[in-house]
Amino acid sequence: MFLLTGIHTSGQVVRSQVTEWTEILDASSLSTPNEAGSDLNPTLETVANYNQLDINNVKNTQNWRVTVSKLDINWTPLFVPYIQRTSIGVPCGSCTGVNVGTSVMGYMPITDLEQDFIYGTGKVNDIDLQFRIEGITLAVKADYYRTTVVFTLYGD
Amino acid sequence: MRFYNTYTVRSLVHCGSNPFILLLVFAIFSLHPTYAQPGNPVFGLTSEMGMAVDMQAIAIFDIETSSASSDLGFTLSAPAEAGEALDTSSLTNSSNWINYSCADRDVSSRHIEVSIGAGSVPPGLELLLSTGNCVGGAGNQGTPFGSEITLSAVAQEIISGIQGCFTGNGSGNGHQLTYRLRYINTNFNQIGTQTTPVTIVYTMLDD
Repeated sequence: MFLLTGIHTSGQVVRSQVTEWTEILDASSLSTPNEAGSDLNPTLETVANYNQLDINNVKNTQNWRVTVSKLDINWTPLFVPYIQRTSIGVPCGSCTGVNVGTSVMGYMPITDLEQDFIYGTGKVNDIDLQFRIEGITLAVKADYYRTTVVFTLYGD
Repeated sequence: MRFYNTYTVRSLVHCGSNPFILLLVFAIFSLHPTYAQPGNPVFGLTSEMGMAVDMQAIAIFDIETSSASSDLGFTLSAPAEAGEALDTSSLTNSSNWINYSCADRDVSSRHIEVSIGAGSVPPGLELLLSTGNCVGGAGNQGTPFGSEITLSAVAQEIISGIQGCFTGNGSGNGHQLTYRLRYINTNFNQIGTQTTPVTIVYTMLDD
């Protein structure tokens, strides 16, 4: 009984397909690679389709919005993460999909507080996401900095 | 209504006597789709992605110069007037700079030492070095040794307390190095005609 129930409801309503983005910085990451006196490149950026977001298991006419926030594990406020949507994904046959007009355009900073990110209606797959971190510098003590980006789906 | 409730209870009790039927009832209920509902999110409506910046240790430095080469040359000329001592007051060079980029992860700081690695300064002379404050860059840059030192085969610390920082690249950035060749007045009898190459070695070390 519980197995049946679990199978049916396990489809995630919002799903990011990539679970981790890790950048390893060393002397080759300097603005002039391996050149003494140089600082690290101040900006790290993924490719435009680094991750994809799926909105599943919603009615075709269900309006929704996705918020984004971060939950720090070991992070410095000097590093500012950003996210941007780089595609509208693939809506289901009768779904409106991403509402480009109300969704955030361009990069937005990811903060500890939830911020509205994408609005839409119905099921959508493969909404491309791109990430950026600004403020990278040697002036920050070297460490393994980690945070978790959290996507939350609200039915509006 | 009361009779209906009674009937419902009885039906469930009856079903309960047959485990297979009860299982079927719950299974049917579970097949209703679970859609995202308006309002606050419930279980299953969040997803996460890790983001990490793994800053490795970096310790890299070099000598930059405003001249054609970081090699230095001092020419000690004979006095213009008989009876005078050697004049070494103009034998200085400040064209070299130390640049570095550092990321300290497992050590508290680093320092830079200097020594004469090969050759030696001719008798009657000494080669002195002073290190300037850091110019350019950012972060926790090192502190230069405040006084002029006499170079020798024994390593001497010239910059201490280097932590996560960079100096900027090229001459005019980092710590300016000023070399001075000095004649030791009491040793004139040791001065001879010669060309003496000396190799000066800089080393960055973990504290």
